[in-house]
Formats: sequence, C-alpha cells, structure tokens
Amino acid sequence: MLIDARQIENNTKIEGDICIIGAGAAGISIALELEKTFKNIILLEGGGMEYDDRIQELYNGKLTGHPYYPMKASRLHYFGGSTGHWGGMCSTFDDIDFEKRDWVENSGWPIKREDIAKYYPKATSILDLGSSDWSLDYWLKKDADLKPLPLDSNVIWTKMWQFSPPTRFGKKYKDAIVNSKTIQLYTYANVVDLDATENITAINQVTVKNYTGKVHTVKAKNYILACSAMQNARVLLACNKQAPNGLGNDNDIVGRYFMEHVEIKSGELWLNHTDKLKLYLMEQFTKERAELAISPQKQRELQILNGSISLMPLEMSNKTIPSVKLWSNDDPRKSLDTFKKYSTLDKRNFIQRFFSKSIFQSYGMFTRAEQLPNPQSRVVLSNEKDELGIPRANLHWALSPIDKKTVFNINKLLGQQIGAAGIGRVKLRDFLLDGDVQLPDYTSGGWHHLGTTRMSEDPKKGVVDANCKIHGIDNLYVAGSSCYATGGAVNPTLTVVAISLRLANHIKEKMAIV
Amino acid sequence: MKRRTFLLSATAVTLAAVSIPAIKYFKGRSKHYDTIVIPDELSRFCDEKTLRDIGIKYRKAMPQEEGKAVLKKLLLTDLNGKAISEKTDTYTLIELLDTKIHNDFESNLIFIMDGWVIAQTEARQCALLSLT
Repeated sequence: MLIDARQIENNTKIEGDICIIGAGAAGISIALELEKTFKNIILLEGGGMEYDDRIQELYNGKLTGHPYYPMKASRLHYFGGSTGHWGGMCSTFDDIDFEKRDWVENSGWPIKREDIAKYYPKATSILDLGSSDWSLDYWLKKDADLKPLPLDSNVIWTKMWQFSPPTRFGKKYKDAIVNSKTIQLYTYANVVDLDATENITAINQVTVKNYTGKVHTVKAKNYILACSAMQNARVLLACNKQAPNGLGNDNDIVGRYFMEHVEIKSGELWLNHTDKLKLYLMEQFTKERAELAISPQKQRELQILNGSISLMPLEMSNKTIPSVKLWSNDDPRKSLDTFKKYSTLDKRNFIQRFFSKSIFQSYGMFTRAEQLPNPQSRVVLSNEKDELGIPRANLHWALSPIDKKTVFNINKLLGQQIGAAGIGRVKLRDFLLDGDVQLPDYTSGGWHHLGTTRMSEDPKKGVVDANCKIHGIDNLYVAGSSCYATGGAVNPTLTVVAISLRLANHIKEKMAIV
Repeated sequence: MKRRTFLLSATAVTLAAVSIPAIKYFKGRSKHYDTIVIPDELSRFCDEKTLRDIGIKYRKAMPQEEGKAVLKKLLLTDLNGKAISEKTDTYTLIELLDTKIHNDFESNLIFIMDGWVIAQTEARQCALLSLT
C-alpha cells in the first residue's frame, strides 16, 4: 500500500511490526524479504516516488577535508534511493576484507565473509546480475574469447565483476512494494526524531514530518535505519534530546570512519602486441569484466590495503577527467547529464577507432582501492538546519598516507608482473612519484558512502554489533554500507543488499523467538 | 617458434603499426652495439631521448656503476656470473639480455624511471646509451 504522508490527517499514529526508515536498496530489500513473515511492515521514505528538488535539498551540507562531491548530489532522496543513479558495477568482498590486519588500523569485522556470502546469490538475483558464480573459471568457460593476462596469481589475481542493468529499485520494485498486502509505504515521511525509553535501551516511536508541516508518529517492535551512510549518522546524531551526543553515540563513533573508495587514473599499460583484452574491458553491453587485483599475500607482505586496477584503451582513458571534477554540480540531475555526455563522447570515439588495432596496444590503468578507516574522516552535524528543522550533515573526508602507499604499490606490482610476463611495460603517473605521502586533490571517490555506524562487537569501537543492532538499544538496527567496518575494494551495492538480507533474516529469527 | 624469434617478428610489425620513431634515432651505431645499449622491449614504447634520460637518472641513482666499462661488464655477465664477450654473436647477446631482464623482473630488481617500471638491466642499457 502506498500512502502519501502529506495527504493523511496531521498527527496520525501509525503502528506496525517493523519500521524500516529509508526506501533505497537496503530498505526495499529488507521489506521484501520480510514481506511474507510479518503482517504489518512500515516502510518510510522521506521523498516521493520521483525526484523532488525540495526534498533533495534536505541532503545539502558543507564539505571540508579532501575535495568531495556536493552533499546534495551524491545520493538520491526518493523511492529507490541512490539506485536511481548508480552505475551497476558489482563484485564481492574478499576474505581478507573481514580480517583484523595488524597493519591496517581499525580493521576487522566481527563476522566473516561466509556470513555475508551466503546472501550473495539472492542479492545477485535482486540486482539482475547474470550469475552468482564469481569465479574466473566460470566466465572463461562461458566465453572462449576471454583470456586472462599471464600473471602470477599469487601477486595479481583476476577478480570478476558483473554489471547490473543497473537495477533501479524505484522502478523495478515499485509494484511489489505498493501492491504488497503487508507493506505500508509512506512517502514524504522524513524521520525527525527517534523517541527512546527513559534509560535509552529501546525506541518507543519515531516521529516523521514533511514540508506541509504535518507530523506523524510510528510505533513498531523493531526499527531499522536504512537511509544511507551519511543520513543514518545524521539521524542518530540529531536525536540528541535524550542522549546528548546522539543515539548510539556514547563512545563518539557515530559519523566517524566515513570511507570511500580511492579512485584515480594511475598509469599506462603498454603491450608489445595488440590485444583487445576482452576480459578486462567495459563496453556498452558488457555483462562482466575482470580487474587486476592485489593478492592477500602481497597486501600482507607490503602492508597495504586491498585494491585493483581496471583497464580501458589509453585513447579513451586520456579523455576522461577525474570524477570529482565531472560530478561537481549541486544538482544531481545535471551531474548525471554530464556523465552521459562524456559517456556518449567516449563511445563515439571508441566506435570510430574500433577498427584501429593500435588502440588495443596501450591501456589506461585506473586504480580503485580500499580506504583506511580513519576516525577523522567523518560526518558531523552542522549548525545550520534544513527546512524540517533538522541540523544538516557536513562531511569531512580525510585520507591517509597508507591510501597512497597502496595505490603506488598496486601499480608498481602490476608493472613488475607485466615485465616478468614479457608482455609489455607499465608507466606510472607522475603523482605516484612526487614524494608526497598524500594522494592528490583530484583523487575521487565513487559515490560510495561507507562506515559511519561501523560494526564491532566492542561498543567502544563500533556503533552496531554483528547483527547490525545498535549497541545498548534493543530494537534499533542499522542497514547498509554505514555498517561496514572496512570498505573492501569493490563497489558497495551487492554487499549492501547481502548484508541487508542477512539483517532481515536475523529479525525474522529474533521476532520468532520473541 | 621460440619466444625470442616470435618477439623479433612481432616487433617489426608493431614498430610499423605504431610508428615509433626509434629507428631514425638509432642510426650511426652498429646493430650489434644497439643490441647492448637499446633495451629492445622498452624501446618499443620510448624514444631514444627518453631512454637516454632514464640512463642519466640511473647513473645518478647508482654512481657506483658509473662508466662505460663498468656498465658493459655488468650487462655482459650472465646469471651465473660468467663474462660474455662483447663480440659474441648478436643472437647470443639478445638471449643473454632477455634472460637477465626477465630475471630482474622475477627477482623484483626493478626501477621506476620517468614513470616506467623497468628491469635493472634495461636501466643499465639506458645508462650505457646515455654515455654513447
């Protein structure tokens, strides 16, 4: 059922079994997973069913630290959330991403990859990916034209990615949600307060508001905050009537450890023969491709973070500009237009040169790497309030020397491996050799917001426990990438859906026992 | 086809295709000598000026290897420490240098010069070139 919270009577009291706050990839996945188990699921969406600039404006905020995308533009505030502009790139986390690595400060999850991996097949289906088999062998058997570079897999291994169409949750799952007999979707229902019990061990009710001035309350047995890493932190920090530092923030961790993926053009691969490298290239209709990933052994040996290199013909790569400059418009629609313009240009140039074999001799190298979980990298509340009276969120994105060390070593290693294989040479970009310990200002992120309510079994080190429940609050959970303790080196959406399905199953088990 | 033979054949085609202007720079030296001072694979991607720049930088980084005689000796020593005559046939020289370069990469004896990730043997060839 779809209910517009602007249209119902002021001060409506809504009740349900579960209240899910946020209708993006996480919230929708959870709602649909719980649909058959519970009779009354409340799904709250702050925006409407389509883009509304007045609602999007609620996401505005200020930036400090390393240059980043405008706060208003880097996520979307309507039904479907940021799946309305995601690119569809998916891959899985690695075992090492979950480990406590003594050379990576604040690393380690309280769960293992296998705890998430069992939900990857279903997540794969939700995201319309081709296969739940992510092994290189599987894809090589499917297409004889896919040929891996002859590198030592103990150093650089071939990591498979798949491309979602991309699935726009707002379109694909609209009917399933709206026609569900057990899900009540409320649009224009922005959460402005979480009211806790006197000793702050449980949530009593949630207050929602919209710009008509109407205020409603929602009561449920369990609440799941699923409105993106920045917004999850903002909501918790802003709920400070009862807990002065914000809910779940007794240890000053909410909002901290904001992570992105470090993304930057990092070098050139020159082959001594022409090779289309079909396995590694992304074209218009590519469903899968591989990246050159650093092995766990080498991460340990060199004491660096996880990361990988993707390739594109150098001619194309040279025309691309850093994403942080490309997506600089405050209006998310304009950033998307710019992106499309550049994509079209690249495609045209690519087609024109498609028959010129020389473009398949040199490739641009693009590194995507994990970022060190850094407590100084954080979402904080602003003194300025939005139209609904909630303090805005500001972002201070902070990188660390190990981030650059990682990018340098991944690229150097690939150079060593390409040379050892006798297939060409690698040239590194100047910034890797400039002696500066920090990455340059044009280092971009991928619109991947991670880690502001990080997972740890220790309340002093994390906001949520292994089940994504906020420490100390019995019925308040957080879903999505804000729970990531470390970010891995892959785009987050597949794992966001998987970890959300895991949370949904935990809720099923918990409420069955209760 | 042996790898080296294949590479030599492929080089000719590739050079024509990508119009690397290396050949014009290499005039005035014997092909045999070029085998020693021109890193074959790297020269497909870099012109002679870049190779010389790399050589100058390597000499600065490794002053203990300064001088034509020192560099030649290092280049013309096989992996077992046996000296190879400069006058040996070109094919043997190519094999020797190719093996040394491969071994450098495998052993992580690499340098980053002008951005290029290269084998120490290649860097030494460039150093010798810069003195030529």
